[in-house]
Amino acid sequence: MATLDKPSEYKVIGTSPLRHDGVDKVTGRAAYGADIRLPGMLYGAVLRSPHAHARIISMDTSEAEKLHGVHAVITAKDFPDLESRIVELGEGLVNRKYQSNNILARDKVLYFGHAVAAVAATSLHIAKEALDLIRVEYEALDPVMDVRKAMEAGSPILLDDLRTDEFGKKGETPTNIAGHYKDACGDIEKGFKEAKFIVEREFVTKMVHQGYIEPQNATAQYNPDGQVAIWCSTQGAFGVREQVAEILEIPISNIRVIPMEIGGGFGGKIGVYLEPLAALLSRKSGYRPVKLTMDRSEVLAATGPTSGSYIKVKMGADANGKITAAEALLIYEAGAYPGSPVGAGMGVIFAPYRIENGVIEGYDVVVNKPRTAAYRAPGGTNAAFAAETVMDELAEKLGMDPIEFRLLNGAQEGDRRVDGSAYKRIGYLETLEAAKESAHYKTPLSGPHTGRGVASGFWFNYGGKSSASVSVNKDGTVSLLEGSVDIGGTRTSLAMQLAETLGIPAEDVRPVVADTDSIGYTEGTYGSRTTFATGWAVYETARDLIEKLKERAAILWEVEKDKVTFESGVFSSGDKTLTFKELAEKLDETGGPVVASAAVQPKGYGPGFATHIVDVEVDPETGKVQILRYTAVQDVGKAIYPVYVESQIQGGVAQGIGWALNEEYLYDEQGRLLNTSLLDYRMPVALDLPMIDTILVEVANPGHPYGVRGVGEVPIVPPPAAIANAIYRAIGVRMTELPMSPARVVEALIHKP
Amino acid sequence: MPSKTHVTATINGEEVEFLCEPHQSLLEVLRETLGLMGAKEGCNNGNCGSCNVILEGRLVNSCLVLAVEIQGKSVTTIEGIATPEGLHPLQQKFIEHAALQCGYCTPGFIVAAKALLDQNPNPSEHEVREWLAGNLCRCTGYDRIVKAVLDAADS
Amino acid sequence: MTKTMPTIFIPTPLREMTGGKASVVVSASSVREAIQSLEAEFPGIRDRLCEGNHIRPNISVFVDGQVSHLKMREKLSEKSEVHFVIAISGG
Repeated sequence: MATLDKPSEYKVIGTSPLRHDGVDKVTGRAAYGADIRLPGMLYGAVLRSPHAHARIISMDTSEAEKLHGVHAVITAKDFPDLESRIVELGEGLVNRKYQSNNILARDKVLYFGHAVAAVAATSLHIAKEALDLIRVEYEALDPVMDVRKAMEAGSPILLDDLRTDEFGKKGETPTNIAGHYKDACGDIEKGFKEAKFIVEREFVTKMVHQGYIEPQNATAQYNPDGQVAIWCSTQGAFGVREQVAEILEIPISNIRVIPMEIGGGFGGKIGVYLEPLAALLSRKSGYRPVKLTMDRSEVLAATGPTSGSYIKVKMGADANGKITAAEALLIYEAGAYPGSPVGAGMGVIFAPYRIENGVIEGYDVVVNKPRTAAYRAPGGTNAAFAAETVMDELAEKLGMDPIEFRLLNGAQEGDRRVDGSAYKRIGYLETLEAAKESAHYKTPLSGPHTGRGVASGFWFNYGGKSSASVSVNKDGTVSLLEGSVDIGGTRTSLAMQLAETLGIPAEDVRPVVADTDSIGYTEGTYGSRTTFATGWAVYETARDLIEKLKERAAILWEVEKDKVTFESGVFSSGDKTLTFKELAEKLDETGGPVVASAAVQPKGYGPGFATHIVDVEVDPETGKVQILRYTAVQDVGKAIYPVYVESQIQGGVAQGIGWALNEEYLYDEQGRLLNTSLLDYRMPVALDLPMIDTILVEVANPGHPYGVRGVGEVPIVPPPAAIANAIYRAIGVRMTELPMSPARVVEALIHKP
Repeated sequence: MPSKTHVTATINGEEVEFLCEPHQSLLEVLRETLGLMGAKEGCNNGNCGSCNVILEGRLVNSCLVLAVEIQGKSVTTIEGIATPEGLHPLQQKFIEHAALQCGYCTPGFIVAAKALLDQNPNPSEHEVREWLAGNLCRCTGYDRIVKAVLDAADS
Repeated sequence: MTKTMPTIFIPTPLREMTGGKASVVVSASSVREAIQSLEAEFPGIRDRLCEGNHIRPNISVFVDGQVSHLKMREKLSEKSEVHFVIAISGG
């Protein structure tokens, strides 16, 4: 499909209509998962492990079952005992046995907060009382909390059946190393020989949480005929359906998932935790509906987070500033079960640059922490923190401006990545040029202990499967059914693409997010895919609708269909014309209602690049870092709904700032999570941040009819590196560990050479 | 001894009676007993502000107030912010400025911002940020929320 | 009859089987044929890429820079480039 590269002719795309669900969301009427109430509904609660690593010797639920008001108690014995098998469950690939064991521990608990039993009762208070009556006997085992220790021979083993996978070759001995990956190009030794300057550093980052404000929740109604309905907060209703079907071994056709409004996800609401529990509790309690909601401590201890990591980067440049070699080792915490985003981190780490001689090696390692989930550009932020800090140090050694150094080495169309693939049209250099020309970069920064940092970032983006369906109303409005959960304005970004294609105002489209029985298969809202891929589905649907409406106009005008043309919302044949709305009014005289639908799996998704500039002030006494000014430049392909594109960028930056300065999981020596509240897990508040300026660069993606690239993920990639580079300019120390909390900054200043 | 306490209060201008257990929070009673689902639970310990309501003119986290404490008192929730004529200016400005993404924290922010503007109709950016520091938003980076509140104050 | 000669990029861990070669030009008009050709030249390599008659579930196939949904069945042209990479998911 050729790109409709006529931006000036767009009537709807690029404008800022009010979002369709705005009033519901500012009046408190929007119904989120926990807002559902069903007649006779029971309330559930989950018992969780106090140990980070222990064998379950025995469980006795009899006292809990006797408590007045308790209707069901379940343990892993109520779950099918699944064999190991790798399956695609909406969240990418998982071993269904591990996923089942993560939802309810069977033989071993592998992290503090690991679920071991669940109760349904007439009130939440009774359910929690019942948890205290469940007796679990544990044999505590030594916890493994550090990836490098987990890799050592003799380290306690988490999963007896785990063997290292090396691109299709399985290791032979039990291990905590789930995967070992490697990409290489050119001749790394030759590359370092050609270098005049070489920088090598080690970096450590800690586990952080997605931090969505709405805790996980699920409500299920199981019926005696085997049908189950599930209301929940999820990024993808179809993914929930597949996971529940696989874990409980019930047919997909028996499950209907109704996605409620979702209070943030960022990758953390793709995999299921509560849905299978709610379904089983409903079945076991005599088919009463059961609602489960997590409290915040459960969210922090047992959902999300993303990997902490150890990363080593070595880069060399010649006297002219050309990068001659780049080498990286990335070791990522998978949490209790395999599946860290180390592969993505490897793909991000040198992505912005032309690397002729490169080696990137990665390890996916299990430790006694919660099984990690995707978090906005998963794996990317850790990697960019390391590489972009080294890039900054190289620029300094070369005496070059950090943007000029990146411009000299920046990747463009045709350049090959370390993994061998070649870029199509990308907009990295454009983000650097825009950053260089920005008001921010041109304004000198002065004052004691202040500094300016720059860093770039990359994200792959994704396509995936999407469906859409439209029907034309008599008044010329259009109802749009789609399966993409709306986390941040996508009802409107999709309605706008439909409106643009049909030549009608965005306000004339009524977008509805449908359940799994009401719309074709649609993957979740992740991978920065919704405006791109569901946008594709909407576009195809509109093209189909136009063809059908041409037939109706042909009937009205008594001409052949091929004599009818359509442009800018007007059907015409000779001197006869009808607007979309006028034709809609005449549908009943030409054959009745008109609907159209499309299902797509577009392949042409394009990666996104960003360059960020930040000014900081560091208090050398307390180590507190204040963000003075922030500008994020990003190639967005085409901004369909610019205010929400900017908002995605601002939100990603804010999360990146939290990751950079404050957020981390704190464990004691026994592996117990110490900061299980939002007071102690410190996310940025309004007072911590300045306004976040954005510059949208639009290098159209040739793989989308309107040039869309994903925009949601890449903005979280550069912030920690940009801030570390700014701190260096402010106080002269290189920060190599996240978060760069006041204590770590003071520590670094004490050891400043 | 009855296990429940009878409470009479004024909620969003209307007199309301309900029975509650002594340990139940105002948030739980608003949502589970009275069906007012606009106040959200994000943390249940006063750190996120998603359950903000105005109690006797003061901004509170309804998760930290016991329901029995509102006997004879007046409470405004997000459901009571709009008027029969239409949206409150803050609600309108939140939509216009795209000051929400997922919308989960939005009721809390709007209630908190109303409490601010009720006592300080002309706040500075810093005052807005300081006042809203008790409300967590993970989607927007606060930029558009602060702008929406400042704009609502101007209008 | 002209033969289609696409370029297959060898994943780094498998280069121990190709004598260090990073890419190989093979005669093949589909990914399945390409893997057959590779196997003929470098015995054992097929098992690293495939499980039974399918590409391993954790490996994505990219043809000319675009993800292939047809995988083994994907047609290749003269200038095609094929990459096998570990699957990546987004948030």
